[in-house]
Amino acid sequence: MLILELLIAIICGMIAGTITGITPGVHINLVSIMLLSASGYLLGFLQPITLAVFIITMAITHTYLDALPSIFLGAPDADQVLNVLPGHRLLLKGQGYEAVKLTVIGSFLCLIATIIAIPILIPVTPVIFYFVEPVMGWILLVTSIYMILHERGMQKKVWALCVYLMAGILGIIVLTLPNLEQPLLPMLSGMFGISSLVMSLHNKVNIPEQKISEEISVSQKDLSKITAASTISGGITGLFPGIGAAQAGIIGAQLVGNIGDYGYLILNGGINTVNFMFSLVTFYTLEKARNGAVLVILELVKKIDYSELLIFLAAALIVGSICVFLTLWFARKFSKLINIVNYKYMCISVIIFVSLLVFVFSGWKGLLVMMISTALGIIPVSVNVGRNHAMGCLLLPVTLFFLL
Amino acid sequence: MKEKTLFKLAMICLVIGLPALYFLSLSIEIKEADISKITLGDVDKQVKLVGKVVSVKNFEKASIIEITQPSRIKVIMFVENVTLDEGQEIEVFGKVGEYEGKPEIIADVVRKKIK
Repeated sequence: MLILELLIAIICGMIAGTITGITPGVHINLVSIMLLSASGYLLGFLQPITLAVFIITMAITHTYLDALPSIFLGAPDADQVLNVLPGHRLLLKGQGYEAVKLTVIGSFLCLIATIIAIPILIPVTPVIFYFVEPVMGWILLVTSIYMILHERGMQKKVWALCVYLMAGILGIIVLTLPNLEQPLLPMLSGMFGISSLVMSLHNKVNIPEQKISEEISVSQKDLSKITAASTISGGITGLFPGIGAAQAGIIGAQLVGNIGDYGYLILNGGINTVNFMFSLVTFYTLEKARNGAVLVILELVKKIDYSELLIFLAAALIVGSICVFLTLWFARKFSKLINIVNYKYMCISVIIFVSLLVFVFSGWKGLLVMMISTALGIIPVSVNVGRNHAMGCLLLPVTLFFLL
Repeated sequence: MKEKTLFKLAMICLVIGLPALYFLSLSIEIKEADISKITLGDVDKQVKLVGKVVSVKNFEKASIIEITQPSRIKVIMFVENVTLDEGQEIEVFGKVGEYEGKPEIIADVVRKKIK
C-alpha cells in the first residue's frame, strides 16, 4: 500500500534529516545524491514518489535541526550562517534553548503560511519570476549598498565596504577555483563558524548554565511581520538559483527593519524552511530545480501533478509538526550537554572536526580557503561592524552573475 | 509564542496532515488494470499492470516487452538491453499510448513482482 511506503519514507527521511541537521558540514544534497545513485535498485520495490517524499522529509527536518550546531557549537551550515551571531549571543546569556525555540517557531509558522499560500503561489510564481528575474541583480546590489550604509559613522561604513569587497573577491575566487570540491563548505565554515569559535577561545568565553525557560516573548504583531518577511524573502530564494537562505536573510532583515536577535532568529528559521517549500512550488510551476535535493526529485519523478504536490505538502506538514517536538527535545539535550562539557575543549573539537570534514571533501585547497575565510571572518568582529557584510562572499558573485 | 501553544498547534497540524496524506495516497494509488479492458479511450491515462513476460525485443535506445494476463499488450521501455525471463511476473507503471490503432503501454517503471 502506498500509504505505508510513504509513512516509512517519512520516518526514514526524518532520521536522515536529523543526522544531517545535527552534524556540522553534512548536507542533505550529499544524501540525496547517494539516494539517486541507489535509485536503480530502490525503484525495484518502491515508487518514485516514495523516494521523493523521503528527500522532502529529510530536507524539512534538516531545516529545523541545523539550528542546533549553529547555536550550540557555533558551527553553521550555509543556510545558518546569519544565525550564528544572534544565537551565540543568547547562548552566552544562558538562553541557547530559547534561541533554538525561536528558530523552530519561525520554521513552523512559515511552513504553515507557505502551505496556506500555495493556491495563490501557484498561478503567481511564473509571473513573479518573469518580472523579478531581470532585476534580481539590482535588488541584490541595492540590498548590499543599503546594508553598508546602515552602519553608523563613516569609519564603520568604510570598514563594512572593505569587508564586503574582500569577502566578495574571496567568493569569486573560491567559486571559480578549479578542482575545489564543495567550495561553500570551507568558505562559510571558516568565515562564520570557525571564526566565531576562534573568537570564543581568544576571549576565553565561558558558557553560562543553560536554562530551559520561557523568558523570551515576541509580540503577535512582530511575529506576523517576521513570518510575512520570511515567507517573501524565503520565496525569492526558492525561485532563483544561486540565492540561498543566507542572502534571503539579508533581504528579509531589510524588509522588517530592526527586529533584534529574537526576531532575527525567527526570520532565519522561517527562511530556511520556506526556501525549500518554495523550491517545490517552483518545481511544480516552472519545472525547474532550485537546489540539489529538488534536482534529485526531478531526476526521480520527472514531473508532478497537483495530487502529488499535495502529497508533498501533507508530508511536509506532518514532518514540520513532529520536528517541533523533536528539535526542542534535542535542544534540551544539547543544553544539558553544554553544561557538562568543557566549552574550550568542545570548541577545539568542533574546529578539528570541521577541518577534517573540509579536508575530506575539499582537500588541501579547502583547508587553505578555510584558513583565509576564518581570518576574514574575524575582521568584522575586531572592527565592530556587522558580520553580515561577510555575506559578500556569496552576494557579490551572485549579483555579478545576474548583472553581467 | 508560548511552548504550550506551539505544541498544540503542532498537534493540530499533525492530526490534519496524517488523514490528508492517507486520502491523497488513495487518490494517486493506481489500481492494477485489466489488460482486456484497456482501450484507445484510455490513451494518456496512468496505469499499473501486472503480467507475465511473453517476449522481450531489444532495439537501439528502446525495448519492447510483451506481457500477458492472459490478454496481451506491448510495453515500450526507453532503455536498452532489458533482461527479463519468459514467464517472469512483472509490474509495469506507465501511460497508455497508441500505435497502429492498438493500445500499448509507455513504461515509466518496470519491476519484478515481489510475492
